[in-house]
Amino acid sequence: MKFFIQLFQNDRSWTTGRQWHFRIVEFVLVIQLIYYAWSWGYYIQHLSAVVLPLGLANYMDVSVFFHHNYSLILALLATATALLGFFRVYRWSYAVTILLFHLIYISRFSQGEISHGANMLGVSILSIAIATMSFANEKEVQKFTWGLIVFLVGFSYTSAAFCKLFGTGLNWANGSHLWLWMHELATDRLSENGAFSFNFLQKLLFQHHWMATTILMSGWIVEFLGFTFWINKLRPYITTLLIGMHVGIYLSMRINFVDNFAFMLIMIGYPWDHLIHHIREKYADTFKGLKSSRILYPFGSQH
Amino acid sequence: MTRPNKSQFLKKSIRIWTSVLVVYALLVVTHNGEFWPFSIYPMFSQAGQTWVRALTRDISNTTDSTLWHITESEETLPGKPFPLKLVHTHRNDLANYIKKSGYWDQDRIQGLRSLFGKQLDSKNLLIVWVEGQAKNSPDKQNLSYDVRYIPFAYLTPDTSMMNPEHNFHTHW
Repeated sequence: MKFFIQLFQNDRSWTTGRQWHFRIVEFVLVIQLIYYAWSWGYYIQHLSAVVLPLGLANYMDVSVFFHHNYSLILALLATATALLGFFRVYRWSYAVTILLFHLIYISRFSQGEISHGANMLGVSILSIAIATMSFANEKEVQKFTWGLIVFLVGFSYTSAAFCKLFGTGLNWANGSHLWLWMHELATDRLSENGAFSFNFLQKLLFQHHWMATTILMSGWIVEFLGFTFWINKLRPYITTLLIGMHVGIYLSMRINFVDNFAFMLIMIGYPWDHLIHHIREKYADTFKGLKSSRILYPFGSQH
Repeated sequence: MTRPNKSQFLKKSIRIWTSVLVVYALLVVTHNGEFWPFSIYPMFSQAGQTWVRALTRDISNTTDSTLWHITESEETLPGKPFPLKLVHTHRNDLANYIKKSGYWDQDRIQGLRSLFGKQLDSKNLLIVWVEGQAKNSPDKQNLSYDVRYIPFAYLTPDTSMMNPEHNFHTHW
């Protein structure tokens, strides 16, 4: 029970600083969602065949969205419902957003690639959708959403570590595997840009097998420790380690880490509410007469 | 705002949390581990496996008769590199399209051509299947790898030809 009390912040008051933090994160999520919806919406228009049906694409033909700007209509509707959700106009708005975004995702990634770049965005919007439909009180909406997102972030990293253990075994951390992936991702860069060269770290890793093994093992251990994200006191530390892991992945395999995952880690992994609280205290005179609730919920909050 | 009841909130939260986990598990188990935004995150979980990616070469100005020649170096491929960023096609889409298409009818070939947009109005392109494979070595510490470049398809403004000389293990 203690685990859940802590996860859903039921032992702490949901301060104005936390509400500011939550609404800033929610705002960034909505902006990201709108960005992906439109950029994928445009991309979908030059696709023509479904190679890999994902999610609901197993039950419907998503190639209908490839023509007549239908994917852009989905993007428009997703944008509108996300904004209605953000401004708490309708409780079910985010639920419709997540369904529309699912359709955009399965259309965009119908070409065989399974991308996890937007999964964190997806589970976050889904968490808010579930919370806004389930709770009447705004503070409860935010506490539940926060708890569910925190749980799913920790779960995703630790489950990925277990996938490696079950998929390969303890030998997963053999540096030779990193060499093979480095060549694979070099081919990707070559395909995209027409040219590629290995960086200094990659050259070192090719020279020293032990170094490649160490980097894999370190990343694997950090990934396994992802579940410590559930513990308030440990969250900033595991966040820093996970960001370090993403930097390592970028330098060794050139997989961009400034994606949704790393961004979400920075946004929710550190106690930014303390900083917000400090700023509000320090500039109390400046903000005098300015009601937080008016800025945070210009059209009213959930009930 | 209505006044929250802490105990009721916690009970309800746990109930919804459990339902989310059950739905999560059911969806990923019945959909090969993927039902966005739910996933089992299996990337890089199968280490040492053969990988397949794709390269594109612009062979418009090449008169090479050994079109389907397999090489072990990108530099010995005919023509010059054709960067996919020119056509705003994501590299993973091309690689997975050729790797996961189990059959090649007119629609699939048209789909492949559409990834290159208007560039195919004036260019002759060679799509290359790139295969990386770990070499079986008795000393695992010194495991090495082979990379092979196998021409996959030849696309011109009015022709589409698949490699007739090689049996590709597509639809992995």
